[in-house]
Amino acid sequence: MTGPAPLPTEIRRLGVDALVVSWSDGHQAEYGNRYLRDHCPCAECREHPRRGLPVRGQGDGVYAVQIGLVGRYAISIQWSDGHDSGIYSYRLLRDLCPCDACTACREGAA
Amino acid sequence: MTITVDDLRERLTEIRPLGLKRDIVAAGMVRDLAFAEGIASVRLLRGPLPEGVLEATTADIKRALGAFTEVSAVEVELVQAPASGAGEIGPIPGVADIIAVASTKGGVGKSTVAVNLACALARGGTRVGLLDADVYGPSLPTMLALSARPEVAEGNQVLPLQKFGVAVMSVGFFLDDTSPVIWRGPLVTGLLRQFLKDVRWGDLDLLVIDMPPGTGDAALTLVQQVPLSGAVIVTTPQEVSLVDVERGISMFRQVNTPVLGVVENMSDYVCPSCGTHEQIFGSGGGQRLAESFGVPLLARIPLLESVRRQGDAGVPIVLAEPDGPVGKAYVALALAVIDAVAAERAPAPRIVG
Repeated sequence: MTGPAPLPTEIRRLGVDALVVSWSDGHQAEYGNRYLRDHCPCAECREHPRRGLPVRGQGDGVYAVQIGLVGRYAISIQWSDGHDSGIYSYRLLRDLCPCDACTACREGAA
Repeated sequence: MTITVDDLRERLTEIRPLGLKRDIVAAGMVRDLAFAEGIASVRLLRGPLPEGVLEATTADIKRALGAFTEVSAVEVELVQAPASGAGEIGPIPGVADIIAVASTKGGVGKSTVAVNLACALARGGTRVGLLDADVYGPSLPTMLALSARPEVAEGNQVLPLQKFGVAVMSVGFFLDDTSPVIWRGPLVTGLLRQFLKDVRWGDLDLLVIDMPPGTGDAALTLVQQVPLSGAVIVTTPQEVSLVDVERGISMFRQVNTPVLGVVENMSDYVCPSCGTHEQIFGSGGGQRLAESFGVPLLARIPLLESVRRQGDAGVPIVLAEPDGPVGKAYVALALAVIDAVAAERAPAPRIVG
């Protein structure tokens, strides 16, 4: 890795559909709520993606009710389906970046 | 028959705004619900819902609650979510920067360093607070000769004690001298949250947190709950404690907290009778560590008998002997910390919408 890791400078809610994250290196991308919710990093979602609360493939109506800062390394999102235990580190957010360039980069590496 | 708030809440669970998978109660949109003298009042979280949906939802609430014969009027107030959410505390009001003084090993003098650093900062004119988060073995009351109980202000907020120009809070203020602190993780977490949330620090330039030892529950709670501007890691020169320091540096790096630097405590023993320097714990360890991790060595604090004596007497050495070798080292450390904090200051992301 070269230089310091980029940090988010702004996290903007785009209605009920998406979050737009702007980064300190000028990068910017729109994260669909469904996509972010599906990639919730909490233990529950990683290990039992279909148990309990509605998680995957149950419509697109999920949105962020509240976004909080966790220390200075992550955000937490309280989703409209009631789930709130995922801590999205800035690094994870960046790794998940759904923009075309980052997606192509990930697929190239895989 | 009389109705209760629970009856009203039950009725609200029937309301599901357009586009939401859950009702407004399950989705956490109902922030407050009260019922008095025939008037039902609801505080509804706006969330990112479009205006039209909010209007429809408001109308639904009025209709649903108005259907009770006991309800003569329904008031719905739309509220914006606070900036910090999901139970996190976020920045402490009035506090510009928060730094942690940490060690991954006991007995290296972390609390002594934290106290003297705070006093050195206050002496230089910085408005400084000191939070003793070492919940298992609070030592601040002894080191600062404080035994009063903090006062409780309105709103259940606790006022820190003032000593040597430092605002001080410690779990030790609430314990009897002899009672052992036997707490399980969740209790410790809860207590720390209260200290961060319910202490009215006032306006501070810097809050120094004397961290709980190690990389366990209590330490993690702190780094997750507050945005730390940086961490100062205290160690002694010998190799065995340096291995532990690596763990501490990794922990702070993982949570994106800059490690401002390392303080090598007890680095030289200065013989009180002949003035000879002896390196009881070896030498150069802090320097090697700083080099291998790319963090600065902020200070090397000599070991003097008077440090312990003054600490036990409740006067930190930097105030008792500011011009002695230890006092000078702490004054230099305070300046280095101020510099490092300023250099590391990265703004938190704005959360908008």
